[in-house]
Amino acid sequence: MRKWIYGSIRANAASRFTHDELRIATLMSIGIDPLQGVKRMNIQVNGKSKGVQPGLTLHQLLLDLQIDPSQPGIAVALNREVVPRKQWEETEIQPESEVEIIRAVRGG
Amino acid sequence: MEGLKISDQVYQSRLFIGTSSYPNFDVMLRAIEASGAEIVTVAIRRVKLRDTSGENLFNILRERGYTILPNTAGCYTAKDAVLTAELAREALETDLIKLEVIGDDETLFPDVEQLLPAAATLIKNGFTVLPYCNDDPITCKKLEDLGCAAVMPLGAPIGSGMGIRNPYNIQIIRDIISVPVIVDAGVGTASDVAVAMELGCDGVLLNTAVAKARQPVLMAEAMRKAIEAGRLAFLAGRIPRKLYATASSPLEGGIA
Repeated sequence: MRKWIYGSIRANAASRFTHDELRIATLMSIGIDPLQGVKRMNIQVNGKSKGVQPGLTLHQLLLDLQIDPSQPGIAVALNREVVPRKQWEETEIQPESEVEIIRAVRGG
Repeated sequence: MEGLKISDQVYQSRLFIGTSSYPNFDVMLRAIEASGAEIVTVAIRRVKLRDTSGENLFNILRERGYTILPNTAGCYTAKDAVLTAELAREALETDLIKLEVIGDDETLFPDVEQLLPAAATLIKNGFTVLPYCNDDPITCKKLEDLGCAAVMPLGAPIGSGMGIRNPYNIQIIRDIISVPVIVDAGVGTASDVAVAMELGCDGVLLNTAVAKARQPVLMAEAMRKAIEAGRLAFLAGRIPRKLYATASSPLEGGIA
């Protein structure tokens, strides 16, 4: 079954696009510039180094980390400045930024 | 019992309770309820990446109607304490902050040199600041002058259970400070709470004494009663201490 699907995609694709064209389209669809290759930038998230895609917003970072951005009780600081929740979607993270994501835990 | 006013809010309970170190979550909730506290403290920490516990402390406490008092525990500098407070305000939607700036991790005593500028910055930024401080009247006066909504001198080191180690200082603090005085830290058992209240303090903040008691829920109830007993005794006015006896039964008319 799987063999048949791949075979048919390849056959279908081959009839319209070259292999390289397909590869470029696939890379671009997931945000990678095919001429530059896989571009990553380094940031610090909660004190740990992390390579992420340039232009990533705080909202996307939370999703990447499997943190639900809509949950109450969390806050984010970018380079030691609190970023209000309503700005998470539009705030792009710059290279070498420090991101802190916090929540309330049990304490005295 | 009359309410406790902090900033522009009035609370019926004079007990503040922490959420740390209970045997489990259920016992914590039952102990908080038994304590009668309306204000509960939480800490602010980095989200654990790939945390699957699913526990949202903020939601649970909020749903139950508690006033959440975030702390800046774990901060050693004014800078870190201010950022932690700013994050807490954003996350928990409250201007209240229990300001802690610690000097070292063995005594957990406050670092006054860092505490004062942190308090000044936070007050300027619109926070209602409740500073955890030494039982030092001068520090407390400076914190009040900066505009803190209360002062929270320690009774003894955090988690030590040593009680009120310097009742005379607490008494001086009570005399010279007009904002509420809340004894924060050091309580070991109910009588320590009663002593603080009898000295005229406006409230007590505690955690370990309840959380680590053999029966936390029972101890929480004892603390609630000690707050009430101590407050009533303070309002009633104790008799002066004397070295020698004064008979309470009539001296005349005995058969001897």
